[in-house]
Amino acid sequence: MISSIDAREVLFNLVKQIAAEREAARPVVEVLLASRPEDLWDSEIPIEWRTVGFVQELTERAAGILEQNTHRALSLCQFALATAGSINVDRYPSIVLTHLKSRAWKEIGFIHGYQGAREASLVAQTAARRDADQEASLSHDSMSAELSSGFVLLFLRRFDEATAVAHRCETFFREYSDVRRLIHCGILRGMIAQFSSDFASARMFHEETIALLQNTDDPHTLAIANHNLGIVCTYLGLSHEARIALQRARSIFTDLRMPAEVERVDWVLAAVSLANGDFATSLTQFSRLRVAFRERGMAEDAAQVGLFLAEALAALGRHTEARNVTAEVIEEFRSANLNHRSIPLLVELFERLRTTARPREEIRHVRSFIERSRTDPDVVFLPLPD
Amino acid sequence: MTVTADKSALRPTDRCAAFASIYDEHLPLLLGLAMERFGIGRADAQTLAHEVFLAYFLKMDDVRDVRAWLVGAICNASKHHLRKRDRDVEVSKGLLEAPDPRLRAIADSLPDQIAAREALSCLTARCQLALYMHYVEGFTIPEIADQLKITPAYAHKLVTRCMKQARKRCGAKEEA
Repeated sequence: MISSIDAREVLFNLVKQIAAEREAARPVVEVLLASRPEDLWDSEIPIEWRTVGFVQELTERAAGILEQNTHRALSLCQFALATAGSINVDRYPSIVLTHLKSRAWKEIGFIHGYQGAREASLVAQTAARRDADQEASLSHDSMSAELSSGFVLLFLRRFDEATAVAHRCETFFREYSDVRRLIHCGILRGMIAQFSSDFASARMFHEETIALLQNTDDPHTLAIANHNLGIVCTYLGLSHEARIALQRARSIFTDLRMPAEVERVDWVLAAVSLANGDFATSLTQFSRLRVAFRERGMAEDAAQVGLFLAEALAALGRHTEARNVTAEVIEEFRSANLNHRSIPLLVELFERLRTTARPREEIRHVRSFIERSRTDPDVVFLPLPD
Repeated sequence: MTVTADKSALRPTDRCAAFASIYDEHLPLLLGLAMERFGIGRADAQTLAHEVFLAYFLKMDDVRDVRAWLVGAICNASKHHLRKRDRDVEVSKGLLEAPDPRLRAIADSLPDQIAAREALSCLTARCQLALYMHYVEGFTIPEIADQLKITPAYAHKLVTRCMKQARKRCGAKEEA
């Protein structure tokens, strides 16, 4: 039993053991990544998999396939968590097992957030933090989970709490000179301003972040900052600046082989085309994105894009098709158990599209409400005046 | 998910060698900080420093500025240690010599604890996760349903079924 790692030799033996376990796990994890995760769940976890190295390798690799297959990434991270819970507690010091569980929860939370399941994401990030808080030496893990929860709070429109998280994390990560996470805090602050419709401040935050990132080797964060800057410039009516920032983001995400992120950028580019009256271009883009999001299992994003698609169709005078897409979106909201408050509004919209003289405005109005009601339960729907 | 340089591709021997060199370079600094800045005794400082090194090893791919990371970690670990120590209450000598009341029934409870642990360890992965979330993390049935993307009714059924499975396997072990 390893209860104490006071001695150098004990520590070094443990480190060697974990490194060897991880190496041994690589080929097994490689096979798991390519197999059907459903097949894993109804058997006992093999004894030889119940090692720290195995769980580390599986968690990291599973998180890495998020872009390719979110369902599989989630299932494998949950399997990693189950495996961590099955490791004999006498084999490793508690700090190691606690770290494993906290890390798995953090990745699970990130994947839920990516799929738009904000509440599930927050619960997972809270579990990550609670686990890490048990150990004196895992404060960095704890605050990393807290920073992730700050982004979830932002999407839940709990701006005061998200701001408090950004403040606490900045103070903490400054102690560690953790530049990358300090930049993430800047992104969080920029997004809080953006979501609060303070677009001028948001633009400033994002431009500062981009300047800071020029001298780092973190292209992923640079792409995120450019994506956000593009969105803000769109709201500010700066279409040219928006396109430049979005194209930069797109190019980096393409280099990083992150197709889902490329599609999210394309969504904003399509919205810019729609706003600028280039309906045919936006129609082609929204049609493609809708298929792509459905294939990735991103039901909420697919449904949202459906409403943009309906708007583009209405703008082109293709009212029957706009109505048909609205009917599909209603079905998607029902079957994927999305935002219940939206369903009666969508049904009402479907009916109104038969007779209204302003179909595009009607669709845009309902779409904006649905976007807002995803995260603000108190928002009240007011129909467009006749 | 973050995209960083792929240090995880390091061979285990290289990884351990890199760790050893960082350990030797920074151990005196970490011990000095814990002992001099926070007034922690040498034995406790050594344990804390080793835990910090272990935490570093577990996420070494994610750390850019090693020295700053280790310094931040030992300072926070020392503060945590002191807070925990402040909550400790001195006990009288008599109490120290008396047997721990929790251990009175150890002969009765220990086999149960071991059996429970063993029963859990031979459940299916799905049941391990469901029972872990419910009984260890304290998740409610709707929270488990959210995590597993199933309905609350099915989550309830799952937890009940897994408890049955645990009892059955626990019983089977005892009989064996």
